[in-house]
Amino acid sequence: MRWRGDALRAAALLLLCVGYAAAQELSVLCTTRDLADLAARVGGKAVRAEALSNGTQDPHRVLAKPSTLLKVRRADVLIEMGLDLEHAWLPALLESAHNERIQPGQPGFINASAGLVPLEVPATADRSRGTDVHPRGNPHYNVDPEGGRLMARNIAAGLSALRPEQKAEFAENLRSFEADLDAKLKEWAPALAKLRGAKFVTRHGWYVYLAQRAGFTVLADLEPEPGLEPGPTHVAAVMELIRREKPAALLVPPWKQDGITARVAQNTGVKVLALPMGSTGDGQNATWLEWMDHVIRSMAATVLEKPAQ
Amino acid sequence: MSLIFRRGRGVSKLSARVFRCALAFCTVLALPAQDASSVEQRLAAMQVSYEARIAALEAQVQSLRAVAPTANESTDDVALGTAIAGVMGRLDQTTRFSNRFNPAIGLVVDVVASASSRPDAYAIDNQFHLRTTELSLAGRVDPHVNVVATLAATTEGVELEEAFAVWDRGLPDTFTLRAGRLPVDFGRASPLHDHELPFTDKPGALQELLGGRALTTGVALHHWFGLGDVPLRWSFGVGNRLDGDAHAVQGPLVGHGHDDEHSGPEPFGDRDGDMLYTARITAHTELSTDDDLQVGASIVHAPAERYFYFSDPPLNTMADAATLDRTVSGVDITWRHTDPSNGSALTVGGEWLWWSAERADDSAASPLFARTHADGGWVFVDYAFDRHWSVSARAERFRHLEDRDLLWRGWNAALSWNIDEYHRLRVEGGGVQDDGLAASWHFVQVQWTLVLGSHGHALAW
Repeated sequence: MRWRGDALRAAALLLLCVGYAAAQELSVLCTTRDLADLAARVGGKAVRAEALSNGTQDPHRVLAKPSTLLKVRRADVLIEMGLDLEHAWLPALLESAHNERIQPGQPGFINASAGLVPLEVPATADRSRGTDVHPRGNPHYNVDPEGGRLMARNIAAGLSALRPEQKAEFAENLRSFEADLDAKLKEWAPALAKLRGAKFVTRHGWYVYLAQRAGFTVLADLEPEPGLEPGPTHVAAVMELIRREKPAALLVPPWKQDGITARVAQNTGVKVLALPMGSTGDGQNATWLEWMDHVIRSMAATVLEKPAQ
Repeated sequence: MSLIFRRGRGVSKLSARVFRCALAFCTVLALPAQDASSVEQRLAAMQVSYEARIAALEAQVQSLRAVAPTANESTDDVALGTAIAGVMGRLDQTTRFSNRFNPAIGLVVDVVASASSRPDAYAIDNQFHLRTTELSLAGRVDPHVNVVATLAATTEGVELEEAFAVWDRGLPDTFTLRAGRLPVDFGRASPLHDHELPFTDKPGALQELLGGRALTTGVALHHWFGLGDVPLRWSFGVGNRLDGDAHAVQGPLVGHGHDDEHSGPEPFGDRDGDMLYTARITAHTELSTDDDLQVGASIVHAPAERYFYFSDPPLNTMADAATLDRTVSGVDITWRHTDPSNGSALTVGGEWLWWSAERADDSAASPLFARTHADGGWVFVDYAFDRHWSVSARAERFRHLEDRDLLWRGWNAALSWNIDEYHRLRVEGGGVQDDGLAASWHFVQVQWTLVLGSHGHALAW
């Protein structure tokens, strides 16, 4: 019977070890898959990162389900994109979850946009300028290679504040990520050069930061104002512009491959490029770096080679 | 501290050092040893926060510096001008005219144009109707409590729909305490404002058996917790009485409006007295990544409502009073399938209510009291194609309170166009067969709903 006692003690010890390891692991809840990917990359074994949305979803309108409450309630860390991207659903979840650890101002709350100099900051918060008005500026800085660096750095800073004893580990992970990003930037240089001077039409202001970085032009937006569906007059005006300026592509998120997009493509012959607006956790967009790679290469592929001078 | 010592000429350098050491010693003593790591964490967090702010401010300074002075204007002139503007500038005090601490303000305008073949058409049929103009105020009182107040203006007047405080921070676990005039936590549809429904009106059964939107003046305690991976919420409330509030364009309460203790028909009218008790329990679970299910049960119970009446022939000059009880209970179920890739969502749900009460039979010469029962419910389906377009359909039936053998059966279908988050147009049509009126009719209506200013809700489930 002695072996039974030993086995029980061993099992108890194992359970304690597993429990201790689990207790040491930070539960990190992220509003987007990009943030979850970067949190996992920077946090390493110290974190267990989970995303509340992925790149095939509109991050402005994630359904705030009661079942999500438990995740928010149990999280040690919450990472948000900020700049009002999640204003339609995150505040209600935070309010109902009653988790003091992750409320704004607490060490467990990380705003990944900290330090960003945002673009398109409106002079006034006025809904005559659209219903998706972000008073703090355009929140789609994840669609930019340097946006990834900013998110990763802020996550590293936030995790280091929460776990000072693992600061060196987070810093090392961050260095590793930034080395990969720098290598990718060298790889992307020809594609980014190809994009310089190119023209695109978009549907919503997803590409503002990338346009500034790569030097391409967004000729027009199929949304007359942020968050508004285009009326016939606006669609006609954009189609006329497309016929005249011949942009490389109409860039749309996956959830906007609808009748309007099809009509514009059919009437103008413009190429439609549907790209997820963030990493998806699988396939060629599994991580933020892979997704960024996919976006830059896909966009560059639409740009015709410039004729030799 | 260093500022104090620089200015404090009477304090010698030595005594200043001694004082600093003593202060540091006291600070160390005051901090428990086990809190050191949490203080370090807070310090590190503050450092991160301030570094971010400094970076943002530096960027701002850089952008401001980019605006160079004009050729005939020296840098010193600009600096002097800025200094003068600063000295003569703002008051830097909050005055009684300041609006910086004002609550969030929102206004909802709900206009309905309806046409009906109802034989006893009320005044609001077959014309344009400004159903409500709802002014809502919401803001935090202090770190623990927020307050929500809603005033509804109709063509008949202005009423205070709700005004309640929510103690949502600082209570143990996930407890929340509400107090004031508040919506009764009963089912899924009752607590919603009319303009938030997928249809123009609340279901007929809800109008008949609960008075529309059930309100009370009292307190309610809410709490939720995780039963494994299933969030479960319960609430318990105590109020003065159950008031129904409806701005119905169609349904049994059309033309009645408000069923409180001073107006409206039985079962809500002419009753007063002891406390009303309310309770609800609901659970929400994910069947799959894209499917979730919510079930709930609710009850309101008034054990001793006072009913006043005059005997016939009058036995004395005072009104007689009887003590009557009333209970309404209900169950609800909602299943939702969402497709996050295109924003579409299919929602199917239903509620069933049971009503049991002692009621006066006014047709008798002297009031006779008898227990009566009624029940009713509805099922609905709502399909949102995307964030802009949705179609909904509802079927309902209930037994009239006056006579449970008399049935009301109705259906309606609606097409909603959410032009944006603050602007919606809806076309709705339907039919009713009412044994009470021994008639059937059809209706069609257009609803135009606009939201001005701030409008948000806590997570409702």
